Amino acid sequence: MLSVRDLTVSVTTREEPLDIVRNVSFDIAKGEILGVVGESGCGKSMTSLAIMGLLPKPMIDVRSGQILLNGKDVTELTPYDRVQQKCGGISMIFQEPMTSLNPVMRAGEQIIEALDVHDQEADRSPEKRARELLDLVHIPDAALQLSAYPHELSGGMRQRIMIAIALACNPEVLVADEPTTALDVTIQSQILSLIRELCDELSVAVMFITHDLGVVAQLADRVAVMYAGSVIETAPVEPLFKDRSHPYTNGLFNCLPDPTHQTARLNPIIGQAPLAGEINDGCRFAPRCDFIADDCKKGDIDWVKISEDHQARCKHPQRKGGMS
Amino acid sequence: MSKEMILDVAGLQTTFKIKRSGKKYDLKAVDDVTFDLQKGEILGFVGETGCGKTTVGRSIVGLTQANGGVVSYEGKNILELSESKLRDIRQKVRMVFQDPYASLNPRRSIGDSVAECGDIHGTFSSSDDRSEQVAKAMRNVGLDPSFAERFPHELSGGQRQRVGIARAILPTPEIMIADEPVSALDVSIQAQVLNLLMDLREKLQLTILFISHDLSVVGQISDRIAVMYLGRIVEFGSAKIIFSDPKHPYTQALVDAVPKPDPSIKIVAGIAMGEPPSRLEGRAGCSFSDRCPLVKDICMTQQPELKKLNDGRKAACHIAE
Repeated sequence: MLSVRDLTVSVTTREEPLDIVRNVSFDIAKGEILGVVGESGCGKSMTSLAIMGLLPKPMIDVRSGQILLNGKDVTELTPYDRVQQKCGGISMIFQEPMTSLNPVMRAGEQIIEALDVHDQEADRSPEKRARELLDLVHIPDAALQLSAYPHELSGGMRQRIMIAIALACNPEVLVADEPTTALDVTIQSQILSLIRELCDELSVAVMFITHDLGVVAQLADRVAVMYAGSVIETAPVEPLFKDRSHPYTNGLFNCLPDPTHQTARLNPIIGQAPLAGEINDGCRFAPRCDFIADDCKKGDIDWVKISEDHQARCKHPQRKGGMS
Repeated sequence: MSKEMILDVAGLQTTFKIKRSGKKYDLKAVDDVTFDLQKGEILGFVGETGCGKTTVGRSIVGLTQANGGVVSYEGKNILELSESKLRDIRQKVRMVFQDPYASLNPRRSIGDSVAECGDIHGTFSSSDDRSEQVAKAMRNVGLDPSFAERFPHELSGGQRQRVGIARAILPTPEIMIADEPVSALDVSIQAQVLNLLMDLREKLQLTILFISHDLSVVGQISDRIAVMYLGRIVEFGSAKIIFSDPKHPYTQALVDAVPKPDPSIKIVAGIAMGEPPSRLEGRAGCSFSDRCPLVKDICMTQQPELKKLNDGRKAACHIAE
C-alpha cells in the first residue's frame, strides 16, 4: 500500500545540508496500523510531512529516496495530486484540531468543502455524504454539530470532525500525527478505538505517530522506533514489546512511570538527544548508551536481524524482554 | 513519615465570573475542596482538563483569588492575609510552572532568574553570597553553575525546567506547588525531572503538591493522591490503593483509559461515556452522573459527600463502599 524507501530529508543551511530524516524505510499494508514512536525532534513529523508533500520547501526537502503509493512513485507529486483518488489517496490528521480547523467556518461547511474538492461521484449530494461521514466517526446530533463553529465544539468533537474531513477523499492511507496528544485520556481512548475501527472497516493503511508507548501498544500492529532521524528498531508490536533489543528502545521503556510503583526512582536515559547539527559519526545513540563498545563509534550501523520480521540498528542488541 | 500537618485546606472555593452571549455565569472552578498536606509528603492532584487542579494550586498561593474556605499555614489563614504578609508566605510556599519556555524571562540570565526570589526578600548578605547560593541551587537540580551566565534560549526544555525548579528552591521553601512540571517534556527527560523532584524532597525535606493530568506520573511520584472532577475531589487517599483498586467510577474510568504499554491489552473505548458536561449550568446531583455506567436514581438528585471508606480513603460516591 504505502512504501517508503530510503527517505532522506534535509535542511538547507549555509554550510552542508543537514539530514533531519536519514534513510527511513517502511511499508504499511492495507488495514494495518504502523505506530511510529520517538521523542521530540527525532524526525517522525518530518517523515509524515514528506509523505504528504507538505515539507516547507525549499528550506526543507526530500534529498533522496522514494515514497510509493500502490507501487506508484508519488515523491514528486504535489500535495493536491497525492490526495486525489486517482493515485490512491493519502490524507492526514493533525495534532491540534483547534489550529487545523478554520475558526470562521462552520464544521459542516468544512466537511462539505473537502467533499467538493475530492468527492468525484457526482450522483450523491455532499450533504448526504457529510451525514454518512459523521455516522462513521460517531458524531451524535449531526445537524447541531455541523452548524457549530470549531470553538463551540469540545476537543474530542473537533478531532472527530478532522477525521471526517480526512475521510472525505476516501483515502487508502491515513497519516495521523499525534492526533490524541492534546486530548484527555478518557476522550483519547474514544478516539483511539474510532481509528482502530475505521482502519478495520475501511481497510485504510494508517501511519500513527506518537510519543506514547502505551498508545502504540494498544493500537498499532507494527512499530517503528525513531531516534535522531533514523528508524532504529522495527517489529510487529508483540515482539517489539517482548524482545526489545535496541538500548534506546529499552531506555524509553525504563523511563515509563508506573502508577503502581510509588515513589520509586525511575531509570532515565542519561543526557539528551543530539541536535541535527551535532550528530556524531557511528551510532547516533552511542553517547547516551550504557552498552557502548569501540565499534559503535564509527561508520554506519546496519540492521541486525533479531528474529523474523524484527530488526534493530545496533551492533550489540540487548534483548531485554519481559521487563515491563 | 511523620504525620505532622503543614497545610490545611478546608472548603476552598474559587469562582470565575464568565459572560457568554450576554448572560452572566458563575463558574465554580474549585468547589468545596478540603484536604491536608503532611510534612515531607508528595501529594498528587490528578484530573482532566478543566477539573480545577491548577486553580487549587494557584488559589493556595493567592495567584488566583479564592472566594471561600480556609487555607491554614503556620496557624494563619493565608486567604485573609494582606499582600505584604503574603509575600513572606511566598518565600516558603513556592510554585514550579508547567511551561519552561513561557515561565522564564527571556531577557534575564539564568542566574538572575534563580536569584530573583532571594533578591526580593533580601536573602543574600553579599554578591559573593548570592552567586554562591545560586551555584548551590543549580547544583542541587543537576545544572552546571556556569549556566548562570546563559539565557533561556540557550537551554533545552529539560534544562529550562531544572531552572524553574532551581528558582523555586532558593531560598529553601517548605512547600513546593508543582503545576504540571513535566508535561512539556519528553519521556526520557520527564524521568530525569521526576527523579530530581524525589531527590529534592529528601535532601531539602520538601513537601510537594504535585499537579498533573498524567495518572502514571502522579502514581509514580506521590504518597497520596486526590482525583478531581469538575471542581471537586472525588477520591482521596493513599497512592498504593487508589489506582490498584479505585472505588469512584470516575477514577476507574481514568485508570481504564490510560493506554498501558502492553500489547496484550487492547483498547476499550473507556467506560466513561461521552464528555464532561458544560459547567456553566448549575445542576443537582453528582457531577459525574451523566457519564457514569453505574448511575442510580439518587445520583441524579443528591450531591454525594466526600466520605471516609473502610480502608481509610475518601470517595464522593453514593455507591462506593
